[in-house]
Amino acid sequence: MSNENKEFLDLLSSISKEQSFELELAPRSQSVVVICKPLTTSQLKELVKTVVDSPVTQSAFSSTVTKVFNDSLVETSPVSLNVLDRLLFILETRINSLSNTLTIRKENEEPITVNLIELRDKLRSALAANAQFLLPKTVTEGKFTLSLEVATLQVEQQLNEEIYKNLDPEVNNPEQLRTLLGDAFINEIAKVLKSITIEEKTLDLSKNTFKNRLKVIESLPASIIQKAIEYIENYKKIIDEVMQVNGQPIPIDGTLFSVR
Amino acid sequence: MKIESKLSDQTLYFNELTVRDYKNFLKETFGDDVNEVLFMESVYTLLEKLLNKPSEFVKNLNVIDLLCLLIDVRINSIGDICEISVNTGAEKPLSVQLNMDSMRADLMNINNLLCKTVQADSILINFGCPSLERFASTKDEYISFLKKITVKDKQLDIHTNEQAEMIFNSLNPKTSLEIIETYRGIITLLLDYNLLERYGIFEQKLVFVPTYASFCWLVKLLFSESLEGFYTTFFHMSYTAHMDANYLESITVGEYKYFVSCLKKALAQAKAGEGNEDEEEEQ
Repeated sequence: MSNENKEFLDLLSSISKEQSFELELAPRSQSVVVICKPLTTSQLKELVKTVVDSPVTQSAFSSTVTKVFNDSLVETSPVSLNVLDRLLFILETRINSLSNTLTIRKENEEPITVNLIELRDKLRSALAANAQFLLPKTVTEGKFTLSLEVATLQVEQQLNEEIYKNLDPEVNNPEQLRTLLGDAFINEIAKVLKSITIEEKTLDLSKNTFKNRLKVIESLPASIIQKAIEYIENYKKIIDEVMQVNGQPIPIDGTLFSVR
Repeated sequence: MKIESKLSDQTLYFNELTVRDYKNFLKETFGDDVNEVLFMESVYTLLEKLLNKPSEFVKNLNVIDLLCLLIDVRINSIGDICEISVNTGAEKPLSVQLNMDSMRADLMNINNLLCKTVQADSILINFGCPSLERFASTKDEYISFLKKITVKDKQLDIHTNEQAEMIFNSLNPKTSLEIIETYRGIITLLLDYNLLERYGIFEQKLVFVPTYASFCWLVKLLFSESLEGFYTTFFHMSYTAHMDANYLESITVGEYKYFVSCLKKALAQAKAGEGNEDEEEEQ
């Protein structure tokens, strides 16, 4: 790259820092605010590329938007980012980079316009009102103690890299479908597990591969798994109730960035 | 003799077109299905010679400046009128004498239409007519129209599509979408600019949107003498007028056209003289 080009890109980069926005992360024990640079056209193209009709579309979008989120941070986040932080980032950057409305079009139906600023504010209020469900939690059943937290982006990236990247999306019979759905279910549980303590021995799952997490879960009693499921359902319910319009879920995927 | 050509942002001086160069140009641009790359090389070679400038200089001229230059070459060699047939829906096509000076003025107006800007906070992006080299190297046409960017008070001229893409991709999507919409607006304006309107023709349109294909088409229109016709005339200049072929190739096209008209007059007079002698003999 020539010196002239480099000098210029550095200047554009400094401008984007000036145009950066504050993002208050999802409720934690203490409020955390990070500074994010605005979305670039190049990043927008990457997000739109994930709009492909494939069973792994959502994981492709998740991976891409996680990368965009990380790249946009002016400074490294002081806390580990989770899926709720990412959702807030998606809405905020969508408002800043394209427009603050979204039009949802479905075949044979009237288009619906969503005010994204109202949606964002509603989500923030809902998260604040239900902050207790977002905090890390410890559950115990007999000799087992699980430490749970909202799925971090790091764990999700592990899942995408180790499992979904090599997944064969073809389902040719009901048995394969059952296996696929079952695996997806267990993967969701594995994402929220931070550590497991059996009697006095603790295994920190953040230092393990995702596949090892799955092996550990397979040997846990169903009763404690049920508590992990409840934890997940509590925080996902908050999101599902907010992220809908006229009973229809608002898509959080590449289409959010391919339409205005 | 040097001839002046006032372009959009500079004035150039070119040598007169010789018969040899004209003949070679007609040969290289001969045919309906012209290879665009070879066609462009012929144009560049011709202009490099006439301007006595390096290849890089000519290739960096924007499309409209290239055309204006070629029109000036055309005016000063073949003349300022170009005859075309226009189908207006009437029984016979209409013959229109396009005035090259007027066409040049129209092209300069089109160049002004291209000079739009997009402003986003402290970033200013200027559009401009691209060079043909930039057309060749991108699939996104709007990229080739990005000419300059100013960030705060620092300005950068965009010379290549690679630079334009780098800048475009680093912009906020709102700005990049505005660039695409501005480009679309420019194209709409160009498609509405009918070069035949000044001749009172509204049923048909002659528009110019800077593209490779439209450039080639317009240049072939400017230099549309048939190769066969040229060679036939050249033959008669040697054979009938007894003029040395090497000498003929070395003179300017303007001089050559003058000599051709002299030959035609001489032949017409000779024929008229023969006609009188025949009448006298019959008497």
